[in-house]
Order: sequence, then structure tokens, then C-alpha cells
Amino acid sequence: MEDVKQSNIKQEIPDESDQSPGRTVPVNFSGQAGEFFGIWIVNILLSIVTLGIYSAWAKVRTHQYFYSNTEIDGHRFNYLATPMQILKGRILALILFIAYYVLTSYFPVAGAIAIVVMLFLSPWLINQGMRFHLRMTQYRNVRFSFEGSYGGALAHFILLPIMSVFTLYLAFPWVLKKIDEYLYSNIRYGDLPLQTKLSGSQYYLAALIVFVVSGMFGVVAMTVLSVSMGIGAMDPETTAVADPSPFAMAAVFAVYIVMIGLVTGIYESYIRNHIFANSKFDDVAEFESELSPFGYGMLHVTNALAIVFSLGLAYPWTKVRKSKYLADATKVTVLPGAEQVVDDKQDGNSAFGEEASQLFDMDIALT
Amino acid sequence: MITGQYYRAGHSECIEAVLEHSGQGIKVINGDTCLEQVGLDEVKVASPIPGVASEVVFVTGARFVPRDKHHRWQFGQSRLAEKLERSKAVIIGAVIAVPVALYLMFFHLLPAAAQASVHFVPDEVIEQMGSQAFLIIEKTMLDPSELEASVKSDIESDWNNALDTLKLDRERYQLGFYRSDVLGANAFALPNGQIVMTDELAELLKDNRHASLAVLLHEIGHVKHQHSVKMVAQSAGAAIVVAMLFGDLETSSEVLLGTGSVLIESAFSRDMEREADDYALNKLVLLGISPVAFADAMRALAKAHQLELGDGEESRQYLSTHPGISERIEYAEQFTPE
Repeated sequence: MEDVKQSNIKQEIPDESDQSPGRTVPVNFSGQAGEFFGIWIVNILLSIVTLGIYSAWAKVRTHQYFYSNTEIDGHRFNYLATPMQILKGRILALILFIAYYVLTSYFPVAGAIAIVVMLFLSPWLINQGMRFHLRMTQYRNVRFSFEGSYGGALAHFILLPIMSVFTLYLAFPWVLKKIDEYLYSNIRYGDLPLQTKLSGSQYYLAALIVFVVSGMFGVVAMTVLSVSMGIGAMDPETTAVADPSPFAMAAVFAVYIVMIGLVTGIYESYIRNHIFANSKFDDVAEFESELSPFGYGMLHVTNALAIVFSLGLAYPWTKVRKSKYLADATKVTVLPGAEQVVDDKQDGNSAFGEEASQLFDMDIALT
Repeated sequence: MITGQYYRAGHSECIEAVLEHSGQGIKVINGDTCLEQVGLDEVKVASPIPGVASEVVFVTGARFVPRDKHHRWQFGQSRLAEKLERSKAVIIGAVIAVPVALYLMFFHLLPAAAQASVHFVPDEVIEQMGSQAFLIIEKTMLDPSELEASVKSDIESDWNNALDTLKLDRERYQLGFYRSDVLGANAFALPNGQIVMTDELAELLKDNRHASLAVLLHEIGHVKHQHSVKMVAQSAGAAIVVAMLFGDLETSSEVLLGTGSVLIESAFSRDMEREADDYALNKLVLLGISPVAFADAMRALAKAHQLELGDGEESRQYLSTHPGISERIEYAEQFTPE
């Protein structure tokens, strides 16, 4: 998620008004698959050998590699977290995770209480995670930050999604829009707020396309299945209900991977393009994203296939490729105020929230 | 003299500058203006990363970024990691070592650690775990037994005889009968020794009392080896390892990773089933009953659940929490006690 995140930071673009006094510049990503492969594989090896301790160093090195290789207008991004910060956060998060796991697995009744506690803890963790991630992101020696409140996160991540159930999920695209608005409009660059105004219709459009595309894939998957079941049923020896053959299961799995990739790519590109076009740092930067939904979807699909067929070894290549693709689709209009942003220092950040939200699988990816 | 960009502390302003490094200190100059003049102990240089410019960070928060991203300073943190990451030999070695290490980690270290951790779980915890889980299962999936009294008493007397002969504690192992539309013909064990047989299973095996007993012994095997406790430790361990090593993946890779986790967890589960099978077969022999009774039970279960034996079973195995039924039948029929 970090490269996505950093790209939304670099995302700036001007709107079509050519009279804006700024310069429109590309986002350059200079990472190389071969170079990152070495970092990645050594990171994994050292993490295993040190029983996980090195993973904190690994995380910092990976982030720093992608941040430093992302350049806008002659300036590179910077990842500021130190391995010790990550390690401490990771240990605290592990303790919480194990306590939670033990409680829910060994004591189902007490675990039910733990689940409720966790539900109310999660908005705080999400905020802390966002805050830490942005505080550790720096551009031109000025850090980003996140100003979301507990009430805001509770409303957007817990209450609204629950309420949308009662609308039979019809309100869900609108909820997604509210969530993005909450996330983006609480981003600060130095002392400057990101101004984001999103429109619900774009979310409904994206959701509709995703719905139609997944429906089509559902039909394909059913066809593959029924054809293979049909073949099974013709076997005179078989009297019981035929099970799908391994081949059919592989085919359905492949259809599933293609679907997930395409749908993710399509949704993310619509939303990213929309968010970038409607976000700006006043007098500092405006953004533009021109992702092609189909192209970006195919990127996800081919990346997933490359990972499967290389048994995971292609992962560094896919990550570099994706960052490059996102950077190439992004432009930033740098406005005169970019030289005068001030970092309103406030230190003492803990990585706990970010590490915990990652362990509990509720980390938030900025599109 | 290294050229680069100098950023003042906490400010986005950027100045083109030159950094000079002499024995005792560092000087950053722009034209005639001296921007920084400090000792080496007042700057920080993080451990360099291949392809990343090595920044000099001043105590004030100002920083100098060299133009040449390959430039490396003679001061600052160790460059060992970068040397490893650039070395072809190390990379090739790692490509070979990582899969081996992952295999050892998931299939030897983790199960061994889970096994060891079982001994640290106090009995009260296991008792609680069992009774709480049972409460939930009972409320959601089980109905009162409607089993014929004769079938029930047959199984119970076999059960008690077996417990006594095998010197197992009657207090610890409790057998209960329930009707269950959800589970069908089935039996399961809880970590506190509570074992449940469904009416459907008892009916299915009522003409083969040895087969019934074989299934119950398999369930005792799960309790004896504390499989539920081990499974929890193992799954949590696997989740943690995966999060630490591959934490920052995107959606589509996470789908693949999720599939991998399911495969690993099923493998853990199949190993435990085999262990429980072994326990049951050994105890059958001790009780003077042919291990074929276990094979009979498996056949009856396969039929009741409309499973096909043979074709395609092996390839589906990787997704299953239990070993293939044919494999288990064959194993039981050829079983020789330890």
C-alpha cells in the first residue's frame, strides 16, 4: 500500500485551466526491478534468519527505496521511520494480536467481548496508522500528517458501513465516497490541509462497472464449471454427484484471479482519477491522474499471473512495474507557494497503530 | 566536493549547494554563503540502500541530498546491508535459501513451536476453551439426541470398556450424543475431552460396533495430542510470520497469499488427522480389534456424505482439511502397530 499511498501524495495535477501560474510536471519513478530484487530477497532471508527482528529494517529499506525513487519537480520523497520505531510498534502490535487471538480462540465467550472491544479500538488504530504513515512521509523536507478524529473514524469505518446494510448496500458506494473524503481531507502537507471535494456519482459509476464486470465473470465461471461437471456426468461409472475436476478448479481459480485483478484495477483507476482531479493543496500543488481502467486492470492481472508462474519471485518486478505505471499516469502542477511550506513540528509518533492495523488486516490503502 | 540539494530544517525551500568533507567536519556551501559547518558527530547518514541517494541529515533537521544517487560517504552507518543486496552471489544464495528456510519455518519450526507451546497452556485454560466452544456449538448446531436406547447403550458400554482397558480417565473423556441436521453423520472432540457423536453417525454404524469405536478412538487421539490448542498456536504463528515477511502486499497479491495460507493451514490439519488416525489404529490393536474396523467406518462415512473414492481425489487433497478417504482406508487396512 505504501507505493499507492506515496503516489497519491505525489499525485498533483493542475486542472484544465491553463492560466494557472504553476508548472505542470511529471512524476518520475526510477526504481529498477533488478535492484529491488536484491533488496527484497536479502530482506526476507535476513528476516527469517533473525526470527523476524530484521523485518523492521526490511520495511524501512523497502519504503525508502520506493520513496527515494519517486521524484517530482527535482525533489525526492523521503521515508523517515527508523527501524527501532517500527520494531517497537511491531512488538506492541504482536502482543495485542496474540492476546486477541488467544482470547477469541481459547475463550469463545470472552472472545466475543474482545471482538466488540476491538471494534471500538479499530477507528483509533486506523487513525494512528494513517497518522504515522503520513508523518513518516516527507517531500522537500516537509512532512505530511493526518488530522482525523476518533469520532470521524468511528462514523466512517464502523457506523456508516453498518447502516448501509439496511439499504441493501445501495448506499455503499456513497459510504465509500464518505470514507475517501474523510481520509483525504484530513491529510496535511506541513501546515496545509488537502482540499478534497468528491462526487458520489463517480463512486456509483465505478461500482456499477465493477458489478457488471464481476457479473460477466460469474457467468464465465459457471459455464466452465457446468461444462466440466457435464463431462463428469457422462462417465457411466459415476453415479454420485460429479465433483469438479482439478482442471476445472484451476480454470475457475484462473478466472477468479483475472476477475479480481481487473475489477480492482478498474475501480481503483476511476476513483484515483476522480480523487486526484478534485484534491489540491492551496497555492502549492494540484494533481492529475489519467489511469486507463482497462490498462490498470490488466496490469493487476498480468502481475498476479507473473507472481503465480514465478512462484513469487516476480514480486519485486510487479511492485516496481506498478509504481512506474502509477507515476507515469500522474502529473502535478506545482504552484508558487510550494517553496514556502512550513513543517509545523510535532514529534513523538509511535508505529504501533500502523503495525497493529496491518496485523489485523485493516490497514487503509490510499488509492 | 559533492553537489546536491540543501533543505533548511522544517522548510520546503531548497538551495543548490556543495558539501565539503574534511577530516574533522562537514561544510555545506552555496556560492559564498556557508550554510552548515558541523562536526561529523552532528550529522546522521542512514545505512545506504542500492539505488537510493545517501542523505546527510543534520541535528537541526536540515538535510543535504547528493545529486549522484550512487555517491557513498566515508562516514555514517554500516554499509553491510547494501553490500549484501548488491552481491550476485548473496542474491543467488538467497533465492535458493529462502524457499528452503520458508519450508523449514512453516512445516518444522512452527509445528514444533506450537507443539512446545501446548505444554505451557494451563489445564484450566484448556477446560475453559473446551466448555466455551461446546456451549456455542451446542446452541447453534446440536439438538437433543433421539437415538434408540439400545444403540446408545451398546456404544456407551464399548466406550467404557475401551477407556478402562486403555487406562484412560472416565472423568476426563465424556461422550455425548446429539442430533445435528447441520453436521450429519459426524463426530468431533473438544480440547477438554468432551466428545460428541451425532445420532446420524451412531445410526450409520450401529451394525458395526467396532467401526463406531474406531471413530471415537480417533477423536480421543485429537484430545490426547491436544490438536485444538496446537492448531490455534500454529495458525496464529503462521499469520504472524506471513504479516512480518509479506506484510505490505496489494490486493491481488493478498488474494494469492490468502490462497497460500489456506493451503498451509489445510496441510497442518491433514497432519493432525493422520496423527489421530494413527492413535486410533494403535489403540484398536491394543483392544484386540482389527484396524480394518477403522477402514469400515471411513467407507460408511464416505458413502453417507456421497464422496467418491478414487479419481481426482489426490489432486483435490491440497485443499482439504482431511487426508483423502481412500488413503486413510488403505492405510488402515495395511496398518501394522508400532
